[in-house]
Amino acid sequence: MNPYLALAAAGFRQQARERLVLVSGLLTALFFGALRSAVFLALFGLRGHTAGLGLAQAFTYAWVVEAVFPVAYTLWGWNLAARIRAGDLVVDLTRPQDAFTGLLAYDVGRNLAQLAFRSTPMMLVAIALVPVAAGRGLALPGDPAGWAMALVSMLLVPVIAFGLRFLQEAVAFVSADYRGLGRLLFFPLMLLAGFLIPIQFFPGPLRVVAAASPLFALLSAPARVWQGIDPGWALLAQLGWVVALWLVCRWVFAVAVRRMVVHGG
Amino acid sequence: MVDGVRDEFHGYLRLARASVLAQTERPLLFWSSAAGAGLSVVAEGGGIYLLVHAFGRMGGWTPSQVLLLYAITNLGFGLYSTFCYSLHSPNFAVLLRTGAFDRALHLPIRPLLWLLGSDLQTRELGRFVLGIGLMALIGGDAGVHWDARSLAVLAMACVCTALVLFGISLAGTALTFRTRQATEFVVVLAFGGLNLAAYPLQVFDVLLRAVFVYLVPVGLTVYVPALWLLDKHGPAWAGRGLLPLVPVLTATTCAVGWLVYRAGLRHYLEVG
Repeated sequence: MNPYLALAAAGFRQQARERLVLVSGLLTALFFGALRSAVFLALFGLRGHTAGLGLAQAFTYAWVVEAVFPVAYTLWGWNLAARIRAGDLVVDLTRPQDAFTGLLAYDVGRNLAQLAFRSTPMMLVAIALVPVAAGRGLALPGDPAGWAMALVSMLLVPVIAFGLRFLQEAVAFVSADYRGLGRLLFFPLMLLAGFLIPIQFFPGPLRVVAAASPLFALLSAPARVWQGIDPGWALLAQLGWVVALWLVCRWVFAVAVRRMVVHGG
Repeated sequence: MVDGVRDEFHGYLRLARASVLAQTERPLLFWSSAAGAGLSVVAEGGGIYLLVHAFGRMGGWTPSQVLLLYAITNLGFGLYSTFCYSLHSPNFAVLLRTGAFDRALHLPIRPLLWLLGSDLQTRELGRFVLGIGLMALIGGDAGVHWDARSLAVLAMACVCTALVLFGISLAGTALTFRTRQATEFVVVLAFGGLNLAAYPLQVFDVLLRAVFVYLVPVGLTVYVPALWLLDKHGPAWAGRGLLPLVPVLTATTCAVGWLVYRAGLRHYLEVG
């Protein structure tokens, strides 16, 4: 079997085994999706559209963002950095396959399990129950091509998320205080990615910066594909960032590994 | 008995001091974490302000008034996170799985004091500084008249919010004792409630209001003091007249949490 597929399958199996984590995470995401929807319902009230969004599109944003968040901000977020500091990464470097691609494959496998067992049930519940609870449903793709784009968009998120997390965790190659950088940037990045509010509500210059950043491809782009707001451009942006992040991460990994010194026997 | 209590209190202070010194040993990590906590206020507060500003008002409240609610939840959370970090469900689960809590059971100090003192989060300093700055910035625009009484009400709101989160986390430990896993229902009740309380409660439906005002009173500890500060009357089910009820329900939540924690600890089997 192809080693990368085997690693992805292993990651999928590992995450799928943590049933309690998946179920409890699903219930938490359902609650916060409902809470976000309640806030939008209160805000939109009698108004049709604001900042280019209608209530149905706001609902879609709320649920897609909650579906994507566990993939973007994983429970195993600092594992790679810890392995770098402990020197365990050298084990990956001695294996016959490409180390970076191996790390990517395993991480994507774990996230595919999250998409399958947490994000998908959540979206199905939202599609079924939001119209009953709120009197208005989600804005969804209207044809098979739209649904195909939505699926591809969601499948690209684990790859983009790995690239961004890798760049953050790569600080561990040069500093033991890598967590400090993560804590410093976490909330500004969450805002810029559109997790706190849709970036359509940002003032002009901030909206441009957010739309031009790789964080757009992580949360806002999948939401736009589902909402039907320039889905083609959003998907293209995601694909572009997949390529760009791959190139940057490979370069960072190559430089870091060349200069890495591992202590101990 | 008095000597015993005094010894345990001194033990707590020694633990707290050691925790603070350990965290300040690495200045880069400490200052970047503190700055990150401060930036969380900017990001979350900014997001709420931009969202409400786009619609003009939310439930009749101006963006600055809604931000006042967020500011209270933020300071309350900061207090809770500073002193009760180890009680937070995911962190407590790690202490159980690694056996660290079992070792604490053999120390000459109550396990709860050990939990509260061993991991003080000094990084929340950033949250307090920016949070108080935010309060000072938007208070006037929101219509708050700052005097000794209003500062006392604000302090009560923040402390009671932190104590309600503490009570919920205590109750959650009972389930974590059994499962050794982070208890998501604690996250939902505590932080879901906190998220909810950052907005005017009257805009939510009856079920959410009932749960997060009376059952898990984190909504009450934020909303009612805010009504008082803004000189608003509020709805009948959570009007400003309920201000004296805030410390009562807070104490009740803590008492229930304490009883549930004690029951969980009595039946706890060490990992070995």
